[in-house]
Amino acid sequence: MTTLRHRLMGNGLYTLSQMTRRTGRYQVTGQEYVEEARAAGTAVIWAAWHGMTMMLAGFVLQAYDPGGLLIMMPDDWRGETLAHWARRLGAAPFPLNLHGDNTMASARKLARMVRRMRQGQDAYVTPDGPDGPAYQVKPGIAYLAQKTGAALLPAGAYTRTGHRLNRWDRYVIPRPFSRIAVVIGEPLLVPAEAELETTTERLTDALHRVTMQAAANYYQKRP
Amino acid sequence: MSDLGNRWRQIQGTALYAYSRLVTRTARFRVEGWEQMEAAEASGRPVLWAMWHGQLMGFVSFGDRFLENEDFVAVMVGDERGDTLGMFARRLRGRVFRVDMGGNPFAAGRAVLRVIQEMKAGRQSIIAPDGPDGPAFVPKPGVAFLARKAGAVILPLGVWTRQAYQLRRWDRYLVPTPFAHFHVKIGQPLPAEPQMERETLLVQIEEVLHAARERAMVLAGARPWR
Repeated sequence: MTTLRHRLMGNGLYTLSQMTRRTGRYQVTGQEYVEEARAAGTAVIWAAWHGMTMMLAGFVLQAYDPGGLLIMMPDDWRGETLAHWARRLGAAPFPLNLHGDNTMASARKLARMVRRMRQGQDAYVTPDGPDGPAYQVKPGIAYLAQKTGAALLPAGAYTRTGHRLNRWDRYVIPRPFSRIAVVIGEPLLVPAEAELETTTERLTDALHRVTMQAAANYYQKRP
Repeated sequence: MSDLGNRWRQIQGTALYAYSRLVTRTARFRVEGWEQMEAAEASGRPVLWAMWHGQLMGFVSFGDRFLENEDFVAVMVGDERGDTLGMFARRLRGRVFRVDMGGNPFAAGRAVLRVIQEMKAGRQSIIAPDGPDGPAFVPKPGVAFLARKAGAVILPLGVWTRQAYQLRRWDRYLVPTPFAHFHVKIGQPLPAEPQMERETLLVQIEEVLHAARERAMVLAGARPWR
């Protein structure tokens, strides 16, 4: 149940991410890959490290999503707040038990997500979330990509002018009017018979690459 | 150049050397891919080590510990940074030839030719293909030229350590702290045939360098940014 507390916290998050999105000066590379991923006609799964959610989620929604981006999130105490935040942004929150629950209820929920993605809805997943360990891709996203045939689109972002929370993912809350470098990587297509491990390895490499590139682009000397 | 300026750069170079020596002496290494290096050396062709510019300090430590510095010959930037770095390289007992990008093209060509000659004579070389000024992670054509002319095998290297400071500049230069724990990945050697297309070779170099660095980052359990 969404209580007043959840709504307040969700609204706070929403305000922060709107502020970032509206006032941020985005410097984007790799836009052509979005078209490329879309050209296949399947859904797209945006993947980015958890710490960059504040910079990326709102931006992706605004810039590239026709509507109804599915955001995977945990269904524990954080879920209600995050769901409220996602709904305000115009996305479709998708709370799931992410703690290795193997009951039918979770399986059914996941099946519903797969179905909606097969109908063409995009998703946004943080493969090292919701609790880390940081920068390690868990197999869930590979499974999702394999089941839905969706293309994985790795994205990275960097800004120096922000507050970094002192926790596992070094979550970044950018200051208003920050310059934010965003890099979108080459889409990864996952064949149905691929090993989950191969996919997670490929995705880890791709995410490291776009993140490094974003930081490098941010500090690039500009003429 | 004034004498004082020259002296100052020499002092800088020596300080850099002292620091890198301290890092090397106290560092621990975990290396993956020795067999790749043996394969490259067994091919009988000159070896050209390559890595992204930001990881050069890691390579210097690695090379200082495991390779023969006297065997190294390198191309280096020719402006005043080169004075400092040249001093640094001389203290490490490597040989450098300086190429001034904005200067006399013939002198630059001669320097590159000398490097190629030395490589053919059996020395190893090292290059950071996105240096000295970026853009980051984009190899410049020079590396393809050098590799093809010398008929070298390119040996991609990735170094990462979590005990380091990343400079806030285009290459996120990694400055390791003493007692750092280095994770090194030697990638698969990439032979550069003289008849190869330059563009193809550059794309391949970009791929293998990224792969080596990412593997090193994974080995180190790295944070890709801070």
